[in-house]
Amino acid sequence: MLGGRLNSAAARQAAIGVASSGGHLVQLEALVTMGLHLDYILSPSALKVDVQSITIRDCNINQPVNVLRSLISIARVLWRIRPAVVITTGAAPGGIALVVARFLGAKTIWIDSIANVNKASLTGRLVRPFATTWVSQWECVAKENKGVYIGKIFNFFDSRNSASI
Amino acid sequence: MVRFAEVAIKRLGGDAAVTYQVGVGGYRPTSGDSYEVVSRPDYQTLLEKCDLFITHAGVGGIVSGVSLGKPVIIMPRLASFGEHRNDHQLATASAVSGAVMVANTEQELGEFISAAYSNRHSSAVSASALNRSFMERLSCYM
Repeated sequence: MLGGRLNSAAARQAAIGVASSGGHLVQLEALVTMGLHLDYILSPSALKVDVQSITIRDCNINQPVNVLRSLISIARVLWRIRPAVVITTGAAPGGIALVVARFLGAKTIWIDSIANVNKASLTGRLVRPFATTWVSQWECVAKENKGVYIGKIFNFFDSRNSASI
Repeated sequence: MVRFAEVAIKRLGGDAAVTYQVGVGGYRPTSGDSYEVVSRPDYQTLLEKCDLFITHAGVGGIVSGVSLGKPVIIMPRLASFGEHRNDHQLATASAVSGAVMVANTEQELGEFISAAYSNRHSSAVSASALNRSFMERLSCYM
């Protein structure tokens, strides 16, 4: 993938990652560690990987006012950068970014968190129609949502133990 | 294990801040903070703040470290050193070896500690926990 730059034609090539705090961000950062190229990461938390950070407010899908606020601030950022790809590991802000990015013509990749063992996340299900690629890290969940299963980001989650997670 | 870790950490010669929980009557290292037993809330706070977690192969320590996304080094307790009744920690260690670094000797412990120290800014999770085939397959969709 190509590096993006603001205020130039090359900006159109930018790849943006979006992740809420905690496990969502850990999973996105793991992808970066494995070689995923991102020009920016939108997250409420400080990053541990060497990618330019854009701080966003976290929100919850059950809080309409906060969702609206996030929508406005995320839409501003995406309008400015015009990314080619948006990839997110959730949660709500990632879903918002994914929908906005789709309207801006970007490729959109949803990776459902490995925590959603038996059922896809609510945001994941809501944004399913806006994702050009929808990934679950659990095969049955991927199948149920007509998404793809390409394994798990971490290799210590064993399918045989899924009942206990 | 505490003595081995102390030697390896001193060898780093850096600024690592270390807290030891050594057990009742256990050897107290001459550098760093050490406690016989840390209360559970304090333990949790320390764990959340840490950049590297070194523990025996007890399930509690492994699960709490790994689930916080911390790099974890484990050194199984061995019956031959009088550290436990039997060698069940070897079985635990082999079951979780995909998620943590398993040190069986002083030398391995030292190597893992120095590797973790030099990677301390590079990654949020230990490299051994990452499934590279996921990334390879994801790139088909980028």
